[in-house]
Amino acid sequence: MRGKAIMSNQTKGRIHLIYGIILSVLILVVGVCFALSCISIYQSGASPFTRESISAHFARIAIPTYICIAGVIGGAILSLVLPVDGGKVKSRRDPEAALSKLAARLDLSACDETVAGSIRKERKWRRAVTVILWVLAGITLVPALMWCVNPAHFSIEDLNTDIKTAALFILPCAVVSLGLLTGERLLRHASVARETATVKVALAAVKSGASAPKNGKSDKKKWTSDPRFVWGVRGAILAVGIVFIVLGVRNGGMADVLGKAIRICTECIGLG
Amino acid sequence: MKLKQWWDTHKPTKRRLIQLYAALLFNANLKGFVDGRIYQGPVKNICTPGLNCYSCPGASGACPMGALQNALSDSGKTAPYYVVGIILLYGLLFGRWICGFLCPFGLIQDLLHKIKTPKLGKNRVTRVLSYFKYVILVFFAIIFPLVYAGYEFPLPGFCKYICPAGTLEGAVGLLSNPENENMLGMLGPLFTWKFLLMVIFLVGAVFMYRFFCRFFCPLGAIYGLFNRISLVGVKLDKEACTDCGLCVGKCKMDIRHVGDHECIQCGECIEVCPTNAIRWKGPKILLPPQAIGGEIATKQPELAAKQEKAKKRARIARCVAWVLALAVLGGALYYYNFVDGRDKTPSEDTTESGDITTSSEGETGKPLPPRGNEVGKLCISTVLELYTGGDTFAVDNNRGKVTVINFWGTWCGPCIAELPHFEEVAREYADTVTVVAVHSNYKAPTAAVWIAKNYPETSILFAQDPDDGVNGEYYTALGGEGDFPMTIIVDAEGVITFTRRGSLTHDELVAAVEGALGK
Repeated sequence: MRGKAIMSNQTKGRIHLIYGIILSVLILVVGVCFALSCISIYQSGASPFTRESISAHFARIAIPTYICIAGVIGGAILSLVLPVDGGKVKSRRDPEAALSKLAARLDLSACDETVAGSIRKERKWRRAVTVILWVLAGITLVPALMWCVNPAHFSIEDLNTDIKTAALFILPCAVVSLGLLTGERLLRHASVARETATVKVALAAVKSGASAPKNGKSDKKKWTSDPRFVWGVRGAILAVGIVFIVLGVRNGGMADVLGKAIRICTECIGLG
Repeated sequence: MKLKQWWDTHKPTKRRLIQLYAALLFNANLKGFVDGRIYQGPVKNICTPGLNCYSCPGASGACPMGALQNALSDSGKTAPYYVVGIILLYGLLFGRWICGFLCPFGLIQDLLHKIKTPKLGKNRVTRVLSYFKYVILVFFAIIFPLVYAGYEFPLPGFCKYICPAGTLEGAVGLLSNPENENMLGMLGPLFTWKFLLMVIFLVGAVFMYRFFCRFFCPLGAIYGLFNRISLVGVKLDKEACTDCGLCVGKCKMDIRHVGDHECIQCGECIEVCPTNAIRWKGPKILLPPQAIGGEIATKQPELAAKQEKAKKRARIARCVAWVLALAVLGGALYYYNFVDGRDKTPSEDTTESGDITTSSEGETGKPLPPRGNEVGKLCISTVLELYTGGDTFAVDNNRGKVTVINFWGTWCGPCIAELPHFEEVAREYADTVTVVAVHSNYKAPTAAVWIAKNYPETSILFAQDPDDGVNGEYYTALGGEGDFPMTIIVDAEGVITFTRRGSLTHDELVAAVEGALGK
């Protein structure tokens, strides 16, 4: 509390930052140490392992681990002794939501034809980009799906290798797919920015010119947000859920869950 | 006064209390942490809503993700209605509110994120990366189990290769108990991989908020689909919203707007909304008074009276809720730790059984060690029914030959994977070694079809474990505690020379058999 009086928030922030960086390095070092210890235990080939053989490996990283734990506790104490103001919450407006509100105020038929045309063109382009890139993202996952549904790629004898091969096949497909989606977001964002600028200009022109802008509320309400639709979906899911549970109890599904749950699933927990 | 001020700023939030409550409720079998054994009572057929490994010693229910994958693995025989129905109902009721309030692994990540380090924020790339969890869901949690269901081989792909909750709560939880030292024998490349992943997820959670939930959790991916229609959570009044973006700025998840599929419904955005456009869903009796009438109430007397009534209602509702919640928790703790005696110790089961031979009198008159299930003890014997031809087998009747007893199940992936090694040994050492594969009592009747299909001509004797309602009578008597496979090798004198809980490689098996043969 005393520190609060004599130290500015900025200074306290700096102290926290420096402490945080040191602690981050410590945590990363300890994380790497744990990973390396685990690998070295496995590579030591001393299977079946004993508590002593494993403890001997982990004993080597005891000191950095203890220092790290002390650092974490120290960080908690630091934030109690030298509390920093969280600062103002930064606004992160969704540009698309802002644009749709802005666009709702604009009557395109009352605008200058060239401005209205460019807005329509921008919307068309955005829709096309979204559709094309989402379809492409889906298509890039198709080879991975095809690979995985082909039983010839999987066997019980070499299970782990087969899953590894499948994962190595899936991963690049997923990366390309996510890359396409990133591209879609960036292009969409740029398009939204362009349209927002155009709409703002058009709104300014309408204000000073002939017709008045609309009231800003969109007349169209999505049918999916209609409460009757939402409650209908809820009712359907509730009914399906209850019917499924009853069927599951009758067909032995519940007993199967119990059967698996009361036995230690050694593969689920990674023991093998 | 200062202390009160300090407490007001540092006291745990309601959300944190609910998270702790849920973590304790879903891990109410506290005695499991002491004796290193999992709960094996009947209540475990109920799935808990969050990611909580059912192999955790404390787990009081089943994990919905593990149960879903196992149900899909078994979909050739039984349609996975039960688990799908449960997930549908949880999704409908709570959506991703479960991630924000009920998931124990979410709590662990929240606590790790409180460590005072610089944090990596969200951006457009992390938003796109958040779709990666759907890839995990589709491939690891759905397609892999379904593909291997075609081989009648259970493969919970996500649990086996990725799930850090299983490694942390299940594996580390069990291995850290001195009672489970023999489980260390199972460790191999798979554990090394999963341990590495767990370290990455935990370290990642320190620097990135909910690192695992945002990018990898398939359960969150499923619940996210229900967010818009879930009955519990936050809702946005679009008419009152001014699109100021403070809610999205405050949120640490990759949301585009409040309540979308990435929103974990934590409600932290409610306090920053300048127009009270974000509120909790639910009946009015459960809502805080300020949610009714808002600021206008202070100016209008009739609304002020309404708010006063609402305050009273909320106070009563809060008290009732806390009393009920504590009663449920107290009841659960009492039930799991003191009432349910399904998980008896093996020795208790052994002495209760009438069929199992526990006396150590040998037929040859030679002094024999006492009966037991450890190395050096005379192996406990029982008469096992074989699947073929109505014959029987007992270890005591196989003196003069080495006996390899392998406990397995058609529902257990590692068991099926190691059976060929036993087949090879049975053929190679046909004159001196008898290999008995004892199927667990679980799904024992259906195993006959599986054996006839996969091992039509075999040197292994396939037997059936007498049903004791839990894991099988003989398995329990020989020290099994719910983990399969388990192998015990008995020498020609009937004395145990080797035990292994977990899988064996071919070389390990041959070495153990040769050890028993005295080579």
